[in-house]
Amino acid sequence: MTKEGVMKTIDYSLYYGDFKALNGITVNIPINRITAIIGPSGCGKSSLIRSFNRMNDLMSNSRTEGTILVDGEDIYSQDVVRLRKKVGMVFQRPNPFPKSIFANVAYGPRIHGIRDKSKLAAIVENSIRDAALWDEVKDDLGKSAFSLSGGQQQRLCIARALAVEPEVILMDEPASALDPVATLKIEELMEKLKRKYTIVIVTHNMQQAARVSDFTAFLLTDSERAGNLIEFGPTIEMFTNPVDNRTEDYISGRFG
Amino acid sequence: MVRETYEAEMNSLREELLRLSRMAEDALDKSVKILKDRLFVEGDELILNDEKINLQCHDIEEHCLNIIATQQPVAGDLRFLFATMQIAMELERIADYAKGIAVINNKIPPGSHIQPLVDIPRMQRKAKEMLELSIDSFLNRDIAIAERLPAMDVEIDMLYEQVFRKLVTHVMQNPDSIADAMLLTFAAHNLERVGDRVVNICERVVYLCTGEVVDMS
Repeated sequence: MTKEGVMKTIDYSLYYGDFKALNGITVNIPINRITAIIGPSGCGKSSLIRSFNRMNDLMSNSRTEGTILVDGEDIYSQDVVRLRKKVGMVFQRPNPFPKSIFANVAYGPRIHGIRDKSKLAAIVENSIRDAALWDEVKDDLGKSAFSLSGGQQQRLCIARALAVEPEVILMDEPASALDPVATLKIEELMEKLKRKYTIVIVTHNMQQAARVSDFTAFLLTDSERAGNLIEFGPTIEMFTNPVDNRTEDYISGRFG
Repeated sequence: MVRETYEAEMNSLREELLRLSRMAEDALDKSVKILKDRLFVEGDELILNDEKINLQCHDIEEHCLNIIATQQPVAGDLRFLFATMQIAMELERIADYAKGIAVINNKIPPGSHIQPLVDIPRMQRKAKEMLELSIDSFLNRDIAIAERLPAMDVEIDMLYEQVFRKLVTHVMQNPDSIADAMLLTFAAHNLERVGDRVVNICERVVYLCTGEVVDMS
């Protein structure tokens, strides 16, 4: 694990066919901190976060330039399954498997070869506890994951991501499908999780980025519609005294 | 619904403000002791220490701004932050008055005593009591205490008039001591201003509790 950050991109560009979606992004994601990626629609926020665990590989016409390092190692020289174990992901809409609450969380560890029942039970309990869901589901672990509310399902998805002991958790708009109370629970949970994990969150909601993150990356498209990193820094600085005028225009709602 | 991180930030801000008020109170206590006992080394220390108080005030302002920029406070919380910034400034100015008294002490030659100081320490004790109560009333959102304090300021004003009258009488009888007497009047005036600043704090307590901007002076 590198001292400066568990994850970094160096002059990283991403293409979908001929279209350049990200242009020469260099950013160092600080360890045990929450980093928010903000920017207007189409600026490449999701493309960037999906790059960290090679989700863009699923797009047949995608290609990359530059480097992304996780634990100091190029992500393309790592086994993708191993990479995704280290770099977990939570999506915009809760997407539990059509299985029990227990089986959802046990799924990852089972795939990674854990068969021992008591060990699995311990992992499931710890992961659900870490996701601040235990008290709400401890008596219903055998129930379908779909019996939970949206906010609970999202925390279950977080527990599922935690169960394989990742180093980084990527969250792509994790609260945008949730009501304000469930959103707040996710935000408080993130604050607790950063003690153990490095978190990267993509959010449309600037106020959410301001509330929860320690660092913020602001992306904006250039004249070719490619996403560029305009500014990266401590969130407090970004929201009180941004360096770039374009950042100030965006966060103060004077954009477009 | 509890926002733990946000609550922790607000609580730490309360503690920072309390720390600043203790620093200002301490400076005030020391300044009058310095003038009363003619302590020059301690006076220079107090003058130097003022920079720490200024920095504490700036830290509070910055903390308030950061919370406003990142946590979207509204209603009572927003009023609290706005009032905290203003109270921090009042406390910083109160500490400046204390520093001013130490500067005055340096200007009065050693051994030059017009008369033993009685009313000036009395003003300081009254001002200190008011200051403590005003900060308590702010942190506990206790408007009743804040509304009581302007009456105490009137007592400080009366003490100031008394100091002024006594010094005028003294100067009339001892024209050579006019410079020292004027300097002592300035010192008393500084304490009189502390009382006014505390009344400003009380106005912020009313604003915090009711949202009303009032003039209590």
